[in-house]
Amino acid sequence: MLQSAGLPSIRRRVTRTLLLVTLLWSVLVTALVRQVVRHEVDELMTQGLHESAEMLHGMLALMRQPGLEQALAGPHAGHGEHLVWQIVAARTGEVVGRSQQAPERALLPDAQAQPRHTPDGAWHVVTVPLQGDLQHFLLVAQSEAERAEARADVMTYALIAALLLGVLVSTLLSVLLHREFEPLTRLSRAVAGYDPLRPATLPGVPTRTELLPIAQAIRDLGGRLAQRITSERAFTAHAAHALRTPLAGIDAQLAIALREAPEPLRPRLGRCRAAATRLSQVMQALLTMFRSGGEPRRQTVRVSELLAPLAFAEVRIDIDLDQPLDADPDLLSAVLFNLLDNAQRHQASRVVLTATRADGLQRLRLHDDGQGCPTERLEQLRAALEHQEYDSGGVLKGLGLILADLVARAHGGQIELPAVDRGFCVELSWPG
Amino acid sequence: MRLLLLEDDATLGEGLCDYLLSDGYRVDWCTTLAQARVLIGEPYDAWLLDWNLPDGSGIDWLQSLRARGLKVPALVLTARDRLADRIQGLDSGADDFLVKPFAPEELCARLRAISRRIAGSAQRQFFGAVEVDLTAKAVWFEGRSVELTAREWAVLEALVLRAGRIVSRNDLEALVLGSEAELASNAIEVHIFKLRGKLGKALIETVRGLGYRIPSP
Repeated sequence: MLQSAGLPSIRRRVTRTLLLVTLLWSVLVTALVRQVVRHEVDELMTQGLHESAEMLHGMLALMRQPGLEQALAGPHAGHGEHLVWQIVAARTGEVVGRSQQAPERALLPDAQAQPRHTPDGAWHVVTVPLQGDLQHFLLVAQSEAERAEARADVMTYALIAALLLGVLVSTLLSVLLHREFEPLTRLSRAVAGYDPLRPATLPGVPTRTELLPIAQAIRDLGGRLAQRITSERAFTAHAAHALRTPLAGIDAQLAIALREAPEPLRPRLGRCRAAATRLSQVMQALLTMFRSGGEPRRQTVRVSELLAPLAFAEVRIDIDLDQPLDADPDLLSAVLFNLLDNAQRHQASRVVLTATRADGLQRLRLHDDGQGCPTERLEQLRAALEHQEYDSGGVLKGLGLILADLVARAHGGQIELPAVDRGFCVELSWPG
Repeated sequence: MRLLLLEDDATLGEGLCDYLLSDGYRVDWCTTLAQARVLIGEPYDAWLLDWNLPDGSGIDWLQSLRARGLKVPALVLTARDRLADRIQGLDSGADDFLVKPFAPEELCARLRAISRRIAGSAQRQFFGAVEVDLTAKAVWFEGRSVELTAREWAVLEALVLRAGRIVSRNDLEALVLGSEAELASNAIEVHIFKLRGKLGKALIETVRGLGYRIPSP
């Protein structure tokens, strides 16, 4: 089973990238707005100052009529002024008239055509000479703090709007991505349950154009696989016939030869027949194991029943526990034969078999009293079996352990090589 | 027991034939369906049939024989080991199924089981003072073990397997002597005479004009 841990997720990556783009976009929008504010809003506010100055000038011209001067100098109703004005004596710099929030001292000592800042930078000032009164000039000013606040407000709202828009777009895209990836998830589930030999399990036509090539590729692959399996099954059937019949013939000939042969020849013929039997068992194990698509044919079996046809003259086989197991008897028989054969070839004189079934796990354990295996080599064997590296550096030399591993895996289990004080131990376990 | 062996592989056919002969069976060995069709009218105790033959399928042939009402026990020898094949074989009329490669000892054991089924479930059968064990190929008269020659045993076995039924002289010749029957026309009478001498006159009954019979146990 492939593990997803550590692998990047397309959806997460796209969402993350979108968020990053949103942030960058917001910063860029804010910077742009800031520039616009600097040039356009500043200009607008300055223009406002000018216009205010023009209006005041016009009003002052009217107010310079008799009686109105007193009103000009009088107190005004209190309110939060954003613009202040002063009428300054050009010669002395004295403030002769001002709005309520305007400072008592003249903001600027003279009148100039261009708007200016006060020396302390607190005010942005427009000066207008009074028409027909060269002794005084009008000064209209706006607080720099007020202008800065206006700029900040514009930028803040722009930033908030950009961020909100970005987050909204990211969320919508994430939902959309989730929805768009759903057909891929469905296709994955369908592929997981696809058996090329059962056309009914063929994944249906995907609902997105982009998935069509993948679905087509899976169909093509399944078709090729089914063709291969069918061919291999046919080949296995032919191979079985081609191998089984001659082997039966060899055994029959050796059996009658043993009967008819003079006494001195019989041991030699007996060894020949034992070798032929071994060859036959190995062949059957291979044919059974590599029968393509062949699932284990599980049934309840006892080890003692499987052992009955297997003759091992040089090894004593003791069955410690013989609980019934749910397994393919042919496969298990092939495993037993090959592992017992291994034990015999490694000078074992006794093998103890234990078949148990407990806590949802079935175990078949073979422990022999043979030569055993050095710790280092045992570790190599364990590693080779764990990763199914059957051809790695000649660690696994015989068929027995490989076959046991394959059969255990075919039953959904595994093989272990427990450390033992003496001899060699193999344990197959599988659920059930 | 007289057997028809239908096996196209020469090594296996010859080996089985020799082994069965040495075990006391009478075997007619054919390598094709055409040869077997010629012999099928002969009285056999069991057929040993290969599935795949050069000129057809042994299973299909067996099915046609069953359709004709022939009930001789059939044991199929085949390289096919799939469950579906076993089911098909048994459904086609086979009494037993032996997957190659097999040891000839196992084949003989299955033949003994077949003979037990034919003769009844009991391992030993009693016919008055005579006790017969087909599996052990042993016979006792009034409690004493009696030694028989291979031919005498073959005659006794053929009659015991058909206990209660009349076995014609020709069938008995075919079962016991096969192709040698023509060479020794009175051989059956000689063996019957000797059997009566060893096992008592009451065991084998002569049915005039029809043949011989051993009463049911």
